[in-house]
Amino acid sequence: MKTEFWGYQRKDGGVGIRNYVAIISAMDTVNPIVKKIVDLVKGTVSVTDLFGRKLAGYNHDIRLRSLTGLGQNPNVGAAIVISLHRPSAMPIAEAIGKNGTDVEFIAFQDLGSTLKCIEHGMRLAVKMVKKLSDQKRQPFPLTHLKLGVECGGSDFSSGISGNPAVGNASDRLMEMGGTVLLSETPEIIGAEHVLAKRAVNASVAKKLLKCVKKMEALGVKAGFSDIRSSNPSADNIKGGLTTLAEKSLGAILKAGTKPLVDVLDYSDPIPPQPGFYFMHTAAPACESLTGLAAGGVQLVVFNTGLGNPISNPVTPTIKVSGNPYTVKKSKDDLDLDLSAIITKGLSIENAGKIVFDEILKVANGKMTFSEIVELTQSTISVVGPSV
Amino acid sequence: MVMHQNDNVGVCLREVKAGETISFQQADSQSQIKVEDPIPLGHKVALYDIQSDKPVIKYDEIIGKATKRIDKGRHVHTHNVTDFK
Repeated sequence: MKTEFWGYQRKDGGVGIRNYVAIISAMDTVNPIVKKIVDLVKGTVSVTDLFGRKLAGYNHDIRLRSLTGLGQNPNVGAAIVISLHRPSAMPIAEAIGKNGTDVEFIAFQDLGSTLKCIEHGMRLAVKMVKKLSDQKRQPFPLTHLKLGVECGGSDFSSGISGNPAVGNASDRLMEMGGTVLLSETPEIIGAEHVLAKRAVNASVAKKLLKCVKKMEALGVKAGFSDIRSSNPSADNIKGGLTTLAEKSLGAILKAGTKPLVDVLDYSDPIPPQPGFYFMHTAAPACESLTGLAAGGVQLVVFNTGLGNPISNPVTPTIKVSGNPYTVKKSKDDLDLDLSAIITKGLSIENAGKIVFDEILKVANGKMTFSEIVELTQSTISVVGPSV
Repeated sequence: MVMHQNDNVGVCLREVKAGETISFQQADSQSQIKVEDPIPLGHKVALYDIQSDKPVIKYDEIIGKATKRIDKGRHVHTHNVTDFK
């Protein structure tokens, strides 16, 4: 039985399953420069978000915490923070460096020239990639593995094939001491009482229910008359999902059956205690994947009913589907085809083993489609406008 | 497919025509029902009679309530189910 994976030791005790050099944009003004450096240097990944200037309060804090978390993710061996000027570049670089990550920053206004930024950025990146490429993987117990579970494009198959299989794999990982994170608060509305019952204590249960209330209030503010009534969507309904409760009960299956250890806010660092956690995030894939990556997950299993191409720059994502039609249409994008659960009576137990085995392979270096084709986008949630 | 032994609905893994008899496994026993409505792929069928206002149960949890009486074999969806409040 596999009880270990091979990864890259980090100074803060974390273990990466990849050895990326992350080129992080602190402000959308310099996104094109970041992208060009990444295009030119193999082994780099780009974190290019939108906004970044004139953010205050919660927005500012979330952004700083998210960019720091992405730079400190165990899959990142070294980072370069690029921004318009020092006051926006330095705080992020300093914050990332606190866990021992090798980090540099580039301020456009110091160099004054796009070409000079690209040259300087390339030179730094090449040096970092060369150094990291000399680092060897070492064996570690599965207690070091933190998995994010995600679903998108949900349909009838999500809650009866893909999600239960992913849930079975989640349980296997946690039984070996690993950690699993569930997110997307709107996707638990209607099933929050089921999750709350699994909380290790009343305080955690209360935190979970508070997330749901916060999300419902946010929904109203954002212009949804009632977040519960816009879900399930027309697509979900056509696909067979009748009520929000049914959709959410199917959604939470992907996180397994273990007790809920704690509830985290968006991009909060994942505590060292292993087990099942919930992270409060919005439902859209890019935002929730970014929150999970900033929290420190090393990889994600993403179950899709109807199809979804995206993943996050610093965390490889394993795409799976249990829908017999989608697995044909989306054959290229999917790393695992779980439709045999529906078409051939493959048991959830055996499907879960297939997912778990793939998790270990990807942890050990096997690449996923969205990783190879670089289908990545970082999106940090923004609550309200910048000015 | 029936997710739990306490469920009163099952999910059709293929399109089912009205009048077809289908079999399903619930816990350790195999049963059969005659389907009264055409059921699209992925949609639910009532495995037992569900009275009006009574809960629709899937995953051993209440997913909604019947807005009118749903006979065994009938299509269970937005036309006869609403949120359970």
